Amino acid sequence: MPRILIVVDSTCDVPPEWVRRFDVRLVPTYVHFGMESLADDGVQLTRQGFYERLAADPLHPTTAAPPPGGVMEVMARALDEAEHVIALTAPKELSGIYNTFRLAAEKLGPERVTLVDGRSTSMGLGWQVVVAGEMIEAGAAPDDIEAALLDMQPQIHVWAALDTIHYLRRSGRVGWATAMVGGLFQIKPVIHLYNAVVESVGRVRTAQRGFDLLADLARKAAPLDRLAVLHTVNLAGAQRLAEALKDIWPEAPLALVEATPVLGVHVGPNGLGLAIVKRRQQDTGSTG
Amino acid sequence: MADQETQQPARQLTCNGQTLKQLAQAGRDWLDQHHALVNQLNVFPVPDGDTGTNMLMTMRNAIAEAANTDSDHIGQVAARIAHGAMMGSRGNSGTILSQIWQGFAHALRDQPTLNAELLVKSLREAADTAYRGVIKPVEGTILTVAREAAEEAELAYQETQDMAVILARVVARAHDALARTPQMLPILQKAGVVDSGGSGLTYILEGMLRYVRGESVVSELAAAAPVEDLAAALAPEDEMGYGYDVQFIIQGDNLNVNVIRSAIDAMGWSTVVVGHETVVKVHVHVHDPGIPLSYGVSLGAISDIVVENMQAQYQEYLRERTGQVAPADIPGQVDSPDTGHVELGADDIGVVAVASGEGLARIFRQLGASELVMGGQTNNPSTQEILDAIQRVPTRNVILLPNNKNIILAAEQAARLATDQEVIVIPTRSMPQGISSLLPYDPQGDFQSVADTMREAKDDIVTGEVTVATRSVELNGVDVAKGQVIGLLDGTLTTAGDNLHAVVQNLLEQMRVAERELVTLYYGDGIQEEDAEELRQSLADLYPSQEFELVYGGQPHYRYILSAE
Repeated sequence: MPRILIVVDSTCDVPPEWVRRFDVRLVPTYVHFGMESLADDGVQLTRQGFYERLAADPLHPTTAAPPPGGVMEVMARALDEAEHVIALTAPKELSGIYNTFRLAAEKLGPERVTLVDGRSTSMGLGWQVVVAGEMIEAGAAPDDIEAALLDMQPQIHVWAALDTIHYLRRSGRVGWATAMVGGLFQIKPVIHLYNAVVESVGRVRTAQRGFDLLADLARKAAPLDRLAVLHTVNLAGAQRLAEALKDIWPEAPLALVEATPVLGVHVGPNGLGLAIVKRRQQDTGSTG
Repeated sequence: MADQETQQPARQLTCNGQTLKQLAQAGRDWLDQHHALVNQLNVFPVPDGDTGTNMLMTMRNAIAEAANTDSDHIGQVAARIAHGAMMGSRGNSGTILSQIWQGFAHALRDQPTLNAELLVKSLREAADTAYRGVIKPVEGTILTVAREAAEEAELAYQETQDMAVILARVVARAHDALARTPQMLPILQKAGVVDSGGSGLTYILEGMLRYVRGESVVSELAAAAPVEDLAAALAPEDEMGYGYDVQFIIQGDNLNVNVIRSAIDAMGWSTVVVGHETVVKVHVHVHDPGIPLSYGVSLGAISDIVVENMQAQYQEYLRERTGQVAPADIPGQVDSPDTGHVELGADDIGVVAVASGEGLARIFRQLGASELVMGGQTNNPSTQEILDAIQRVPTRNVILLPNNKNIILAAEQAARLATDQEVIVIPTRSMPQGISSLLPYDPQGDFQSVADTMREAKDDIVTGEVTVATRSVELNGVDVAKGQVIGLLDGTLTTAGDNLHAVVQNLLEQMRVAERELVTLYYGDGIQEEDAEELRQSLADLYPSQEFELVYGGQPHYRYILSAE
C-alpha cells in the first residue's frame, strides 16, 4: 500500500494525540510583534505566553503566511517518507498560506501532492485532517480522500463568540467588523466561518448570551458527525459549553481545543467556539 | 544596519557577486528606512498594515543567507539570496518578493558577472516569476511595478549599455508605475494610497540606485525615531496632548546641520533635520510650533512652512483607517455619524430609531440604524417626522424603534401612513430597550423572524432612568419633593432622594444588579465625564462581580440612563 502523509498549516488546531496518531506534518505560520517573527510551532509561540503578551504589548501583532521554502522543507521530508502527500490549508481568500503551499507543491512535483483548500480554519480545517488520517489508515487512495474532503466541506461550520470585537476589527480581514464602531465598547460579536466567509450571526453584550447563542446554533445544526469546542484562554468556558451540549455529542470523540495564537491574533482572548461537521442527511428525496 | 561600503562614489557599474550583495543590502536598508511607511499604505489584499514588515523580514533573511559567501560569481550569490528569500519570506508580499528573487537568480544562474543584457533579462524573468507566484495576478500591485520595471529596462537597453543608466530609468519607471496603481486598483483610490507592496519594491530598487550613485541609504533619516505606526507616532507623548507637526526650510549661510538637529530635537520629538550649509529642512513634532519657527528665523530665512494639528490628523487617520473615532472626542460632537452604516438594498431590512442625545444617536448608528429621529422624553417627535425618516430608508421592509413609551403611538401611526413600505414597530419603551433590540438586527434576514428576534431581545435588559422631579408628588408610595432626584425602574417611579449617586445606587439595587452580568451607564448632557466615571468606579467597587460600562449618552432630561443585563 503506498504511504500517504498529511501536510497542513498550523492553524488547523488538531490536538497533539491525533497529530501523533496520523503522523501529521505541521507547517508553522507566523505571528509578528513589530519586527519580531515567531513561528507557531509551540516553542517560539506558546499559548500561555502569547495571550499574556497580547494583553501587555503595545504592539498589535499581525500574522503572516510561511515562506514557500518553509512549506517545501516540510513537504519534501514527507515526500521522502511517503509516495504521496495530502496538503491542506486555510482558505485562500483569508490567507496567503494556500499560495505558499501551491508554490511548494509545484516545485516538488504536483503529481505527488494533492492540494486541498480547506475553506475553513481551526478544527474546521482540523476535522478534515482527522478524516483524511482515518481514510489513510483504512487504505484509501489520494483521489478518494480528496473527493471525501470536498464532499465534507459544505457540512463544516465554525462559530465563535468573541469577548470583544477589537481584535477582529484590527485584523483587517473582516470588513463589517471594521465598520461596526461607535460609542458602545462592550459588544461581543458571534461569528460564523463557512466556506471561507466570515459573517456576523449575532451581537451580544454579555458572555452568557454568547454562550447561549453558540449552544443554540449547535443544537439547530444537530445531528453532528463531529464536534470540537474551541476556546482562547477560556478552558472553563469550553468545558461548560461541552457539558451543555452533551445531548448532541456525536459518536466520534469530542475535541476540546485551545485555538492557535495565529487565530488568537484575530479573535482575542476569552473567546469560545465550535467547529462542527453536520451529519449529511441520507438522500431520501428530500433536501434537508 | 549601516554598511560602510554603501558610502562610495558614483561610478560606472560593473557587477559581480559581491557587488550584488552590496546592492541587495542597500535595497534592504532603504526599505528598512521606509518600511513603516509601507505598512501604512497596506490596504490590499488585507488591510492589516504589515507589508513593509513582511518585505523587510524577507530581505533580511535573504541577505543573511548570502552573508557568508565571498564568491564573486553573481549567479551563485543571486542563488543564495533567492534561497534565503524563499526560506525566510513572510506573508503575501514576502512570498511575491521571494518569487522576484527566484526569477532574477534563475536568469543569472550560470553567469559570473552581470552585464546590461543580463540585467534586462533577469528583471524580465523576475517579473514573470512573480506573476506566476500568485494564484490570480492583480494589476495595480507589486506585480505591476515589477513588470513595468522590466519593460523599462528593455526600452533603456535599446539606447544604452550603461547599467547605471538602465537602473536609473527602471527606478523612475517604478515610481511612475507606483503612482498609477490607484488608477488600476479602485480600493487604493478609495483609501487614497498607492500600493504598499509596489512601494516596498520601489524602495528596494531605489536603494540599489542610491548605492550605485554613492548616495547614502541610511544617514538622512537616521536621526528620526523609527515610525512603527502612524497612529502610535501621532499619539500624544505626554499629558499635553497630540501637538503639532511642524516642517520648514531654513536658508542661510554656514548652517550647521548637526547643531540645528540637536537644537530642534530638544524642542520636541520625531525630529528629522537634513540639508547642508545653505539649506536645511526641518521636521519636528512639538506642542508649541512657535518655538522651532522662531529658532529657524534666528538662523536665516524660513520658507515652505507647514504646521499641522496632529490631534486632527490622528482622528482623521483613525476614521480613514478603521472608521473609528478617537476616544478623545467621544463626548461632544457627533461628527462621524455614518460609522456603522452599511449600504442597504431595497430587499434588505432597514431600521429607524428614535434617539435622544448625540451619544445615544451614535450608538444606534453603530448598531446599524439607517435613519434616526432625534427626540425623547421631553421632545417627542411628530408622526410626520417619523414618517419622513421611514421614507428616507431605501428598503421596503423597515423596523421602527420608538425607544420611549410616549412615542410608541406616534410610531404606530407613522407605520400605518407609510403605505409604500412594510413597517413593523417594536414597542421599545426606553433607549436601552432600543439598543438591546437592535443588537441581533440582521439586515439580510427574514423580515418577520428578524422582527421577532428583535422584539424578544428588547426584554433582555432592565432599564433605570434618573432625573429631577419637576413637581412635588406622591406616587407608588414614593414621596417626592420638587427638585429632588428620582429614579424610575422600567418607567415606574420607585425611588427618590437628594443625592444623585445614592438614587442611582438605590435604583440599581431595585434592578437586582447583583444577579446581572453587565451594567451600562449612559450619562446625560448635564453630567461631567469625571463625575460619571467616579460614580462608575464606586459602583464597580460595590458590585465587584459585575461589569460596568460608562457611555456618553448626551440625552437631555435624564441625568443617567441605566441598563442591566
